[in-house]
Amino acid sequence: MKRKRKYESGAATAFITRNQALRKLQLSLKDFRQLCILKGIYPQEPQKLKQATKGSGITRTFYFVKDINYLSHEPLIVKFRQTKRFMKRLTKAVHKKNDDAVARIKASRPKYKLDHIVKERYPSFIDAVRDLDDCLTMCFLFATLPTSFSVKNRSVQLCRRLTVEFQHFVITSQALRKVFISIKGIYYQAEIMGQTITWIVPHKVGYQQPSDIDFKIMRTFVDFYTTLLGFTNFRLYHSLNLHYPPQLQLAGEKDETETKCLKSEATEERLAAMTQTLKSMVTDNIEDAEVDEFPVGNPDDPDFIEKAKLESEKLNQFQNLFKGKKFFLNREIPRESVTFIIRSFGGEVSWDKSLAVGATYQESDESITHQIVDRPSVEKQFLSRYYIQPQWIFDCVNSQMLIPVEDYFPGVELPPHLSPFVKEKEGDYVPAERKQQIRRQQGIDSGVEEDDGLMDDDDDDDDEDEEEEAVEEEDDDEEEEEEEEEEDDSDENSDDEEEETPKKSKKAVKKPVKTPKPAKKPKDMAVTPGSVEKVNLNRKVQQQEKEEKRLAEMMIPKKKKRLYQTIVKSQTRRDTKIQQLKEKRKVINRRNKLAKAGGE
Amino acid sequence: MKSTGRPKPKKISKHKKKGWKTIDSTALEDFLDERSFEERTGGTISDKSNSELFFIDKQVDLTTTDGEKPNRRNKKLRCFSILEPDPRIKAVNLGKSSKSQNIKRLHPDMKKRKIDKEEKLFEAELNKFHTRNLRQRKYRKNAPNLLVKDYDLWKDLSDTPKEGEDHILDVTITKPVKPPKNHYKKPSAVPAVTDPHPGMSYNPTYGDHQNLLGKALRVELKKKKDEEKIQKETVLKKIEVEEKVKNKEVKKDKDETSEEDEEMSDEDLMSTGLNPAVRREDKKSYKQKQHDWKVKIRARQKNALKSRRIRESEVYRIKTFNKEFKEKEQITKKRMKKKQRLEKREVFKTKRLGHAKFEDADIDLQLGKELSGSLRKLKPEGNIMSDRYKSYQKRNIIPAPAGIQKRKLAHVKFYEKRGHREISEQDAAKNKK
Repeated sequence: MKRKRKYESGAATAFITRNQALRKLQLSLKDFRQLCILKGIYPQEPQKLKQATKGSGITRTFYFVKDINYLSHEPLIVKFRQTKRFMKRLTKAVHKKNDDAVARIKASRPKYKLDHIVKERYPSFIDAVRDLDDCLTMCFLFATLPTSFSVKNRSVQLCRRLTVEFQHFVITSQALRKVFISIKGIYYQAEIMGQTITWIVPHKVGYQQPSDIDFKIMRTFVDFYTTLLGFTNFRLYHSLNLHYPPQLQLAGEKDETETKCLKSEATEERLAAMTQTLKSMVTDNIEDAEVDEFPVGNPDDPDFIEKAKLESEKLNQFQNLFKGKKFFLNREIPRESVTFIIRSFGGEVSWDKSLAVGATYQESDESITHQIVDRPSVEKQFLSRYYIQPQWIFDCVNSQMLIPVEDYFPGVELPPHLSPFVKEKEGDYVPAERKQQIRRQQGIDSGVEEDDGLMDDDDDDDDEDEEEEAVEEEDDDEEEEEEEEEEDDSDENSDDEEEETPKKSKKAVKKPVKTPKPAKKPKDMAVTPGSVEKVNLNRKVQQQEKEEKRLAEMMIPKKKKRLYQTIVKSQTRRDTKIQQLKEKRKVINRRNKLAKAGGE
Repeated sequence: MKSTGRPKPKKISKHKKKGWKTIDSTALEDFLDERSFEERTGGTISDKSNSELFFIDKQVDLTTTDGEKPNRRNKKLRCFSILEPDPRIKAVNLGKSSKSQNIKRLHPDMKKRKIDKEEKLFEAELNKFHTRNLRQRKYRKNAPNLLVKDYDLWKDLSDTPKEGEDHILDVTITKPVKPPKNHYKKPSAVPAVTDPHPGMSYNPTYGDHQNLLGKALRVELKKKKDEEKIQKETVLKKIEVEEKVKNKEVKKDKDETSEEDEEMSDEDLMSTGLNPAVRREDKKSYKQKQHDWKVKIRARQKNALKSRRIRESEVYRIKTFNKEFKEKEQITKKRMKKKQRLEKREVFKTKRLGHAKFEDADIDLQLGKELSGSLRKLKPEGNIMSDRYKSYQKRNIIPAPAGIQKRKLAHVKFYEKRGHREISEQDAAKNKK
């Protein structure tokens, strides 16, 4: 038997340091980094550092030996070596000022393809789709970069083309679900082949290159991601029967602006404008395909099919949110993002033809329903359309319905832009604005009296409760409060009327008329006719429920009592926190009210 | 008597089993073997058609001639290779074509004739080109989907023969190297694009914005606390130690002045324990050594006896042992559960992949003043590029980079000329007034 020695098995042989790997593969550090990123091989942290370092215990960058062995079979390594040789030849020729040689050598730059790696890393198409988040974010980012020494024009152009293609796919497949304007960039979420994909697009303002970044690494990522996105786009386009280098449906029509640029550039620009639909390979559309009827449903849930149908109907409605709406963008609007969103929900978009390529109709078009404006006032206004701020579009998408336009008129202080990525758990504190959104979605709030909803936040927990309370005897204070609110409402209404533009009057302002309650008579010593004692059923039921709960609590075995108590404790803690927040909100609302009154 | 000529074949009766063995069946067996081999390797050759068996080799390899030695006499000399045309060398552009100059010199009649001829030729060529182009266009119109290039990486490969179905393919095609087992495992469960904090909205609600600010504040406070701790441990402690040392030295000086040094006694030296001297008197005698050894052996025996006794009596403690085992098992189970729980969380953690430790990026936020209510006035905060870079590090894709050392600027000695100094001093005085 062979004697067992130290560091001959286990962690000591499973790991290899980066320098060792470099020597083994005979690559430079730059090439090695690039190869690792392309092949998807990541450094590891050994659990037994002392073992892996053979006793020294100094932290290093480790890789699995098996991974490095696998890397050594990569045909790309040969290309890297060729590139190294090529660079040596080129620099030599350059230094010798041998121009002929430089030209000749430059023409023979070794090129490599990454498609085999894409196939290797994503064996099935769905894997590639699932991993698209990072890819899209990087491509969208690089598409906006200015060309510089570290970022070549070619990759920027490629990224731009690929992202435009992807956006066209999202538009055609109506896959967009959520949008969010953050201070960092615009977040988008789409659902493609059942996968939710999120990506960020930077705002279109001056770009500052960060200094603490290794650009070579980022470029390598983009190299891989552009290959991935290209193949994914091809496949996605074919899933919708679209031509792959995308072709516009009305390619023949020419624009005036197009005469100023090359033909190829013009078509590219028109594609990037995203105002037109893409040409399909199939001429006849089968749009209204009905959902198949299945005779036997899920035995556990008999309404399963009905529910699914309702859901699909709802989704369909959401996907066609802006269908039939015609938008016109003013020049101060972030054109690309707004166009992308409107078009992916079925709307039509255009802008001034002097602004950019791709304008389909002009401002004077009477059929425009919404004009998007981001300035305090608009001089020339058309009566037939709404003038709104761009946030309206984002908020409509997030609340999955057309919300009333009144809050978004030019010059009006906008309601907060809520994040669609927040999912409230049961019992969490929900801010008033979000509550309003939820109610609108449920169809309880028509959206006309949104001021009310914001102001009396404290008693909008349940609308049904209010009715019940109305039957009950009310305290005098409450009544007073209500009266106050009514007064406020009427005040606000009158304000609105003053500010209102003629369009606003189109919408009938519904207002529930509350009849004032007869004042209570002073109590006298008198015999009054007896009445049947009112039995408050609701209260009784509540009492009974409470009793039952108390009994159930008593029945909890000793073992689980502690757990139960901790749960209750955490709940009460949360409730008190929510209560505090509500109180705070109340105070703020009151202060705002006072400020408003003072201002007037 | 000897028979002449060919020997007659021996007569064997074939209707008996005994006779069978003597029949020579190698030819038959060979034939059968060959046939079965052919069947195994893609059907019998005799059944196959010519096109299946042969192919026309269209590529002619001129470099080698079968079996023949290269003719030395015909071999081109290397020194003359320069005379051969090089496809990489472009033709010399003379600016004006020599042909046109020739035409110039011609007689006008001849000139006209020549030009006409050339034009005719050119026109014919052009016509040919146009007609061909038209034909192609017509063809393309009729077959619109013919020229779609296939870039499908993930196309269905079920038609192609699998391994074991086609022997030749199995043998000839080089198979891709199998990736290691953990190759498709993601290094981290952290999503590539994390959901944004609602307070990061360009127009957030008051509560959300406050939440975000609070979060950032907590991070900042923690950083400050850590820094203070380090300060306490390093700089302040150093100062303390230095002061102590100083105090001691001062004391020592005082002591030295008051008292004179005394010589250290032997006992003092012994007590210091520095290389105590080996003395002859301390050596054990033979008798003593024997005694010590005996005592040692006796103790060992006693111990062995005791342990044996204990082990024997353990039979009666089976119940307690069982109990202990159960307890131990429960503890291990608990530990395993805890480990599993930790492992679940471990997936989200950032590993230490190099010298440098990963540090999370600062939270992007805008203060209340910086927030603009409208999209037009929005001033973006944070950089997506650095955000991505950090994300890769957080997701264990690349190691955190070692801190970039700032280049130290050379110390420049400042010197002002006397004449200048007077003026600057005057200026300073003026400003003071």
